[in-house]
Amino acid sequence: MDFNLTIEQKMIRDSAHKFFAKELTKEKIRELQENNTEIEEGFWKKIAELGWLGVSSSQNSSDEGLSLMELAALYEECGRSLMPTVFYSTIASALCIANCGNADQKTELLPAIADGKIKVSMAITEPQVSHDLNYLETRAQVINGKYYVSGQKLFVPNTNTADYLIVAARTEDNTSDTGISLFLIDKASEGITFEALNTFGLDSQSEVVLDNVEVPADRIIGERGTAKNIIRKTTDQTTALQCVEMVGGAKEVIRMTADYIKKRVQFGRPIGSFQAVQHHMTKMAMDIEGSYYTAYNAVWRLSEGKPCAKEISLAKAWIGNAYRETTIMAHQLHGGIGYALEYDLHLYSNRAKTTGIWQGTSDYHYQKLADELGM
Amino acid sequence: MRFEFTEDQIAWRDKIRDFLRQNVTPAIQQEKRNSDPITNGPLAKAFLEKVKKKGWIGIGWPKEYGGMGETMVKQFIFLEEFRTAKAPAIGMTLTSLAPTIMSVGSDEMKKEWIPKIVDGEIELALGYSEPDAGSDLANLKTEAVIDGDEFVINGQKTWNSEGHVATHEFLACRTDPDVPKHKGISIILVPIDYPGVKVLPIHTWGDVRTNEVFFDNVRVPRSNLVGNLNEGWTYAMMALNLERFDIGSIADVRRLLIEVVDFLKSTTVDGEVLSKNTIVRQRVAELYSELEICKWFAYAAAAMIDEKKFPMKEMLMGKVMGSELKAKVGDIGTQVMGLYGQLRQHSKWVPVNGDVERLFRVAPLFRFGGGTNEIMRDIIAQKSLKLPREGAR
Repeated sequence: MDFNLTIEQKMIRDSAHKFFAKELTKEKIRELQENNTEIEEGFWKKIAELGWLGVSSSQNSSDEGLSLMELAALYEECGRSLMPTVFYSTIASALCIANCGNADQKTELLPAIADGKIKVSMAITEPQVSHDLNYLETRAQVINGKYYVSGQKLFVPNTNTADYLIVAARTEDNTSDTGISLFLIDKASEGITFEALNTFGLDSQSEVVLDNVEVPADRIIGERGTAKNIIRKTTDQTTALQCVEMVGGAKEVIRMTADYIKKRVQFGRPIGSFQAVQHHMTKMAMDIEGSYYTAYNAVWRLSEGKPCAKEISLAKAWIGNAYRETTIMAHQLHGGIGYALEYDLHLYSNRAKTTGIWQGTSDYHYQKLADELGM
Repeated sequence: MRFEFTEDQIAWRDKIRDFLRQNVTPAIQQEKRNSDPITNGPLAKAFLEKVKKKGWIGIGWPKEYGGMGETMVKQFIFLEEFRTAKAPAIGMTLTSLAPTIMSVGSDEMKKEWIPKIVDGEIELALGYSEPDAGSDLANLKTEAVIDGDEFVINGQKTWNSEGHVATHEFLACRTDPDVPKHKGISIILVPIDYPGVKVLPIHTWGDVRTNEVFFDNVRVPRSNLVGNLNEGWTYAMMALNLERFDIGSIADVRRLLIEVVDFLKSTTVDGEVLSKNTIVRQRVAELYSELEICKWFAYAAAAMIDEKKFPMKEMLMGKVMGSELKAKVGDIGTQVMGLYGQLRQHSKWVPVNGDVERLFRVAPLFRFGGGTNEIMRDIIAQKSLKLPREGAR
């Protein structure tokens, strides 16, 4: 048993902490969210230079990209600083390509993503499909060696900034495990339209309609018919990483709240000295301390190639509730000031709700876990 | 990071597992169910003799006292394997009081007492709580007055759980009434068969017998003092921390939950296999998750001790979460069984040998025992989150 990050992982976490404190201020976060503007090229270039957009193509640290554990250390700080979600959707796409792209795709796309030259996002879910790809309705037909993709995608992140979308579409009519493929589609292709959704988390999500969009055959990620496996593998990684992001956010909420209740005086003493208040704080701290171990455990097991379906589901189920409940209790302990928009707390509360739903709600994951327990 | 045991630790675990598989018979488990859990029957005693022959009673003890000088992680693996196997437990005398004596006792005391403790000739009861000294333990009033070569002890202890089986009290006494209350306490080893000691039973909801113990002009040699005069508070806390570690282990409950799942899978009520009910599935999955999370507190605490850090936060969080989880598994575990959940141990039809209903009745003990969870939460808030103590209690 060893619960310490390595020196390299700590260095990433510490430098991210410092960098975000300077470059990712709350004013900037608010401006990006409120005006739905793109993060400026300068920032993106800097994080590319820091090496934070490069994922390891082999999942071990033999190349220059970040390993999963290094990404986790980074995600913890991203969560703390409310990193705009374009970062997460870009890393998710990079992981997807690194997992299952062919050699040409890896050589072409991964360095371009790592250098900050292109951004990619994943378009999987549909109005009637959240998790079970057997119900997918988007179709890709082959005509003269080219694919033509048609369908409707929903809750697609960051289409406004993406250059490419990775789209899941049905290539066989049956529900076999080989009936679905992933297509890398240029956003500028003819036949794609976007409509922004309005989420209270103020992250960028869209509806995407594909009408007979032409895609060359070499734009299938990996091989035809392998989407289910690719998505399962990528989702495992992004879910575990998101858990660490959530832990980072929740830790920051606890820090903010502890600071506030030490300073806020009522009845002649800091409200943080009241036992009722202390016990709420202890619950938050315990929930998130447990979250920390379980989130890193999920990432660690993935990075070691160990079975981890149980660990990922229980981490997401637990942390999904814990982060949200922590923010709601933080509002209670702050009283009026935490409710005011001028204060930063609600930015975390929004993110907690969004992340609680993204990659599966707690209820979804508890049912998955029950399956894993053979029930 | 590494969220798994090393090969060496796994080999250690497997060795213990093999031993337990061969030696923990259903008869031993049943004997434990039949009796007051603190009292060992003949089968449990014979089993613990075998454990002693393996050299396993002092895994963490220094080698000079016949221990193995092993790491905290290995000690914890040992504890968890015993719990999981529903094996008779090695008592608190060996796990937390003897190590305290080893670290603070005089050379003479160690030479005289430790071999007897190892032989089982001496067994200690924890003499801390009094009618007016529970969470506020430092308020204790049992006094020990020096008279020549002896202490003269007067007072009353309560919730003295080993008083009827032990040979001696590990007794916290006031030896200086004129200093701040934490600073006038000493620990004295008091033979229970001495004149003036009276033990009366208190029977509890969880079938555990505990006791009131009265001390009326009990005279013991001054050499029975543990460590230094008036430093007993520190020693008591040392032993308590080890006890909290013990309470934070939930390996036994993890096994129980799996047994509950087996019952649910094999039982059909109102046309539905119980394990297929969505709400039952959700509740079990929640408990399973909490148990998995709780174990990290204990493992992290053990690993930190081996890194020479003091894991106060991790130990306290483990104690609070572990004890509340035990109550929850007992409660929800019996609830998901429906009508079967009300059956008591030894009844026909009782699921999981009645271990779940028993847990429901035993578990409240862990929430207030070893320091109430409310006090634990105060300490976490004040020491770990650095919230002000001023006017807190």
